Amino acid sequence: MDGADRERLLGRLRDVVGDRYAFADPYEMRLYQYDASPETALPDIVVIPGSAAEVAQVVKICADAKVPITARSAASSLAGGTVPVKRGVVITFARMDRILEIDGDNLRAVVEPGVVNLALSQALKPLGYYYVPDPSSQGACTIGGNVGTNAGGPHTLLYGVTVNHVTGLELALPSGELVQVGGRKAASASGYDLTGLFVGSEGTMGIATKIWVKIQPLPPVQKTLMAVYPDVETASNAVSAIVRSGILPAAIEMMDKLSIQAIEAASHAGYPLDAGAVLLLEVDGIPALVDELGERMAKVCRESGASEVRVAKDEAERQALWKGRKGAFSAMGRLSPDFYVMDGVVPRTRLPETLAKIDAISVRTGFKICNVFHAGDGNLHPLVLFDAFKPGQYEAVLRIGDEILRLCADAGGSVTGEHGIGLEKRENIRYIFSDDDLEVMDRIRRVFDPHGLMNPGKVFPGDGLESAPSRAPEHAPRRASAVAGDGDVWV
Amino acid sequence: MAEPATLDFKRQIDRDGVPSVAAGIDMDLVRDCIHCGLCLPKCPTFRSLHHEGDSPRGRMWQIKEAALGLVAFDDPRFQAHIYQCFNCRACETACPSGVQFGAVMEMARAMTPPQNRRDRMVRAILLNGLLPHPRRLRIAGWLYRATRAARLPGLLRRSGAWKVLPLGKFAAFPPAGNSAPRQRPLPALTPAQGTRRARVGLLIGCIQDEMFHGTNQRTALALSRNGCDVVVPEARVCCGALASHAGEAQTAERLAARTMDAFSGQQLDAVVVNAAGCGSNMKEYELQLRNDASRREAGVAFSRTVKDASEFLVAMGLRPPTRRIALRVAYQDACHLVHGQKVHQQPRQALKMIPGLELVEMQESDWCCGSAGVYNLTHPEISEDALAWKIRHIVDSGAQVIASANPGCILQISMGLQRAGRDIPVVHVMDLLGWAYGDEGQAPPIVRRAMA
Ligand SMILES: Cc1cc2nc3c(=O)[nH]c(=O)nc-3n(C[C@H](O)[C@H](O)[C@H](O)COP(=O)(O)OP(=O)(O)OC[C@H]3O[C@@H](n4cnc5c(N)ncnc54)[C@H](O)[C@@H]3O)c2cc1C
Ligand code: SF4
Ligand code: SF4
Repeated sequence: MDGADRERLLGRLRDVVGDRYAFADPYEMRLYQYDASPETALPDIVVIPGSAAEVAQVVKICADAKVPITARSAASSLAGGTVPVKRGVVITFARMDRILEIDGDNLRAVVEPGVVNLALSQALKPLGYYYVPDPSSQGACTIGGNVGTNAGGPHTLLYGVTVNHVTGLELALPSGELVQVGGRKAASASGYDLTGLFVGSEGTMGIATKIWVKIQPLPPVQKTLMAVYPDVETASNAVSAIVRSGILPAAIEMMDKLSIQAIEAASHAGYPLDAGAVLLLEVDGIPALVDELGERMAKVCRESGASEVRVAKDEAERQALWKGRKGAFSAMGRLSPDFYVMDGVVPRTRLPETLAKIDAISVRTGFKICNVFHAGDGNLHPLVLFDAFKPGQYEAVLRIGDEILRLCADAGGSVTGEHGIGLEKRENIRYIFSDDDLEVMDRIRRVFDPHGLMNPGKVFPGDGLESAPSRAPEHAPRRASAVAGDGDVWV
Repeated sequence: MAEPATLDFKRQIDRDGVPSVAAGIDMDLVRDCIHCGLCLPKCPTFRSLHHEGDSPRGRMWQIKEAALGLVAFDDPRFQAHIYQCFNCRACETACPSGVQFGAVMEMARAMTPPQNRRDRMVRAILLNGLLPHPRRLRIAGWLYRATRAARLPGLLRRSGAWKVLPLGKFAAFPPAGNSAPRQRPLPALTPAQGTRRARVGLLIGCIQDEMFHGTNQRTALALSRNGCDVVVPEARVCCGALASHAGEAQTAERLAARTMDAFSGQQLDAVVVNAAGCGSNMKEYELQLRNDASRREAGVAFSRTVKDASEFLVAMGLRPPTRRIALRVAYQDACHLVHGQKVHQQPRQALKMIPGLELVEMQESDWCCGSAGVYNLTHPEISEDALAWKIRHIVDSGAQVIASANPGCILQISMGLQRAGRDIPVVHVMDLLGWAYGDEGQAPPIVRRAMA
């Protein structure tokens, strides 16, 4: 966009949101070039709208001018989802953080996209409810961003990820319309599930301006167990044993030795520093049930090789353990100046061998790799530790990332479990989708976004702007079907 | 138009090698930030201004870019965002990555004096012209108390003149505190009562002793009641907190050295401080003395002896006070206590020891009230925004009295409550403790009634 175009567009956007909330100063643009991933790119203009109506107008003005639009909420994306690779306008939701309605009797709430995930649960708590999906970043990430990435979390093992908890959306479409899909008081099974289609579309079809979510009564009791294992292999075999035992806990998380060290340095949560691996398990429900489940779970853990099983004795200890777990990624900042997080999925049964292969990559390349992840659904988060100030390391780390995702795909898994494809994995997506799959998806997207203006350059391989997805290079493995139904990835 | 350089470390480093880092910024500390954003919802300026540049992550990013020469330290936009920060360090508590935000912010501020006119004036007059000079400070303190004795605040309020005068709101709505123009200095030694348990130094502070002399007396009383010999150095010192937090590195360094000298050679078990901002600064003399190799070690050792008053008393095991104070009290966490020193429970525990006192919690007790050192003078609009939230939460809490642990917060919140027509006095934790130990001085009417 040249200077004159930018000024003209800025003027029109300022008419909508006011001078203070639309700006194009190159200095300020530098603050919207990043998210929690290592990717960066500068936008031309940033807009901070205050209402759904303003968002709709902003989207229309940009679409009419054929300018790319990227939604950015808390920018905790680990996949570069908010990085405006095609420049254009970035829309942030820092001002749209109101909880519009809480309807306990009908178990639902209506929120603006900028409402912080945890803030919603905190507001619900005095009323006896909570919002289930709890990404580790829940203290900062927003419901809008969660809808964008279809976020998961430790407790989504039993209760389902974001898509299972969003019942309706109000959307600003490039056509300038503000439309509502779903969001009726009573659940209905008729017609296409358009809400489901939008959740996880990473801002490539439209922008969520209002979100209807399910809320759930707080469980009467929650019990958290920590099982200590000598090594990750025994711990990952234990995960299958637990699932086989017929009880599915609300959460099964794994942390390896290096992660435990980082977590303890950051939060003194009480994890054993000498353990080879630790599983964090949670069961919830009415007291009698929880006691029974807790005991059975502890038994399975011990039988599967746990040297020790501790039960959090009170809420404070339970919170400390979870706080440690949820702060794990950021705690890596204490072990290493930079790290690169992956988000591969493998069938639970392939966990031990996959972890062993990752370990072999670490030994071969000399980069430390930690593992802290949602073990229950086989969603791995290998973190490669590196130093971006050492020439060559970043490129090497990207290659390692690619190799690990390939490994996951080959094991019958996927290249992302919850962080989204974003910018970072748009090439890796070929490991799980064929050209035909991608073309179908692209056609669906274009129904809503015919000119490819919504978060361009994301999700699809290649540049994703003008052209249809580029054809797969020769070496990419071809897969007939998408991952769902392939192996036992989805529980 | 040429593309501005981006901070694409990874590839840029491969191409151009490792960039050189500005002297004066510790890049290792800056790189602790992994830009995850977990601190954003805890930042008061982000909540007010909604702009990434006014968030902790945005500020760390800008400091990183400036340190690498991608933007200039004296760029007015850099300065605006950096000086718009409360330096409340709430982000430090929120950050799982262990970013030492306060330290990085002080380094960044030291790289660039502010251009905001109001900010420059405050520095010239207050930080460098007044606080470091004991004589001038005494005169100012006398003047302040004399105007109170002459009932100037009431006149300002009735005439409405406070709305237009500089500092008018603070003059018109002063906190409960000293109003006798003359005051007798604290004795050089207040002996321990009962079994002697420790020998401690007490920092009486600069502003603290002029405006809250009674609080210092009651702190000494509480310490001596708990078996401490309380030593007050003869040399009147300012610890340099306001200067360091504002990035006046040279003044801060000089004052740090002077404070250490004042307490040296006294065989003290601890140096007790009742002003959160001062305590947090004195616990970080390593940072203040970073450019003085000869003193840095001594600074680290000195810092280890520094304790907040309630931190020290609770750790020692507080002897229960006997006088009842039947009041509903909410504790307002001073930023530099809760975030700067991670002292959160101790003031509450101390208050709960007072018979009859009911401790209630307000929402967001650990959010900045907008006082933030000299911030309420340099950036009144954003400061007022934070104060408005605070006042709302206080009123909702139903508390009759607010306890805090820092002179700045007490001044600010007290002003806000009075201006809003609320009769909710704001006092120091040590005031309540001192009254519970039998002191009578300066108790506001509602407290006096509750003690009867
Ligand atoms: C420490 C840490 C831990 C994490 N742990 C987890 C975890 O356990 N589980 C998990 O799933 N993720 C996790 N993440 C990743 C991240 O927090 C999630 O992807 C989250 O959903 C992003 O929310 P956000 O508000 O930050 O959105 P952003 O990062 O701002 O945006 C994410 C994507 O959604 C799009 N988007 C944003 N707002 C809208 C909107 N209103 N309408 C349409 N599209 C929109 C954006 O364009 C972008 O593509 C973690 C991240 C960090 C830094
Ligand atoms: S300061 Fe800490 S919490 Fe904030 S973005 Fe940086 S690492 Fe994350
Ligand atoms: S110190 Fe306070 S105001 Fe400054 S960035 Fe951190 S949280 Fe925000």
